Amino acid sequence: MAWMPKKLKFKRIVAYLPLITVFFLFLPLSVSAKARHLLSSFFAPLTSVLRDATLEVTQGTSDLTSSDVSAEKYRLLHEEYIRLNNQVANMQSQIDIQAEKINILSGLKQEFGIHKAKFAIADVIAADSDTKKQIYIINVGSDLGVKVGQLVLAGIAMHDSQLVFPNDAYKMSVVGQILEVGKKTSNFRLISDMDFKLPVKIFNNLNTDGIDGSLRGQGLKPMDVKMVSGKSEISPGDLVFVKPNIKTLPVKMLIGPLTSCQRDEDSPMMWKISVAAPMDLHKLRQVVIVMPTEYEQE
Amino acid sequence: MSISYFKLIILTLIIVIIQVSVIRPLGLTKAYVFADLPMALLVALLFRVQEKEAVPTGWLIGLIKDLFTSTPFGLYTLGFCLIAILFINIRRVIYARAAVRLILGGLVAVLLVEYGILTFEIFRGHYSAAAFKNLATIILLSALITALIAPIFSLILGKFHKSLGLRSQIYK
Repeated sequence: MAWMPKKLKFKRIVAYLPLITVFFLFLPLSVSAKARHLLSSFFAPLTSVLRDATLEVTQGTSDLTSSDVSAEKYRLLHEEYIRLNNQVANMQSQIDIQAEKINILSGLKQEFGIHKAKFAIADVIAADSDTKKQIYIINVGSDLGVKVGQLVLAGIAMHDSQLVFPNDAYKMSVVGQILEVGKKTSNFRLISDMDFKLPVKIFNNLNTDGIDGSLRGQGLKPMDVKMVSGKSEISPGDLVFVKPNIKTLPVKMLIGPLTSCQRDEDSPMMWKISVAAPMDLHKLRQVVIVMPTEYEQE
Repeated sequence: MSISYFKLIILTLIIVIIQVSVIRPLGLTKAYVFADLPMALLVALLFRVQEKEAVPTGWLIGLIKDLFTSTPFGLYTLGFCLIAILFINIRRVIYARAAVRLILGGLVAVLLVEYGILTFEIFRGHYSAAAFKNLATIILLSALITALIAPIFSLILGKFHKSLGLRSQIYK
């Protein structure tokens, strides 16, 4: 190769660049993820500060503000509204847990409550640079025990100065799921992402056992719940909870209320259900990752 | 005059960091759709770099974008390389005002790359066919915003053309 002129060598390399890149596609996912997480943790202080500053500047603006209701007052009232909504829904869940405790005290069965999970508080440091994806990067990783598939919570409790777990967990809602884990950073997918799927249960006065369904993100539109039988009795205002799972979330936890339900035109035997997001998901600053410990012991 | 790849890497890093930290909370609609800033930079650069510099420029910008996204690694690098090859071949053929060429370029580049990647991901089973309509709208919106940003990037690059080793005027 030494006989080749320098310029020719460079030209050849340049010509083969797209072909070389094709080999990248066959790289193991762990290698590319490692590179991504290394870079994310390196730039984390910078991206975190920039994101916080942007959120600080953009926060508090709303179309509903007027001369009577200032932007700040609207923000506070809206936060209070969400807090009370979440509180009512999750308190109901707590009542169910207490009812279960009666069974445990009578020695009938073993409880699997939220107190048997560890929590990791994380800052949202950056977003994915692909506009189609609703994926965010957080500053905790496998060194704190984060694993793929664990659920991510957020809520009004995050604004409290002293956060106490699990006592404050009732103020929170599920906002996403861990997608990829690095040593010091992780990615999580928002519940509104187009590729998000999660088993859920819909609860109302008529169905205390809950109706099974599958939550899917819709990107531009509100999330929807699929696979709900048309025979089930549901109405707007019913609450959607995550189906308890020993590996992800041991108790049921709120996602949001149903905003609309009508017969699915494509499959008339099913409901077409829309669910409101519990909060502005793209403006999250801090989140909590639930790490069930019972599953680890098994 | 030839492009300084070191300065290009620094510039791309700055732009990608702005994209992932500042731009996302400012996005439009419920999905917070935003511009593809690295693509806008590439389009603006492709009208100013020499022919032999186009592919390495696309490769570098694509690689940096790939490192900040959870799309299968290499897809953006490949997409940006192919856009560079396409633009180098058509940049002298399109007859229009500079701004119009940049806007059209931005629109076409984002649509080609994003729809290509989306098709790849649908074949790999990531998205359902039902999700395509929603994603197509998001991509179109993003392409429109990117197209409007490309001429602004071109103006900024024009101001700093000497330090980056670029032409002062875009190719006609």
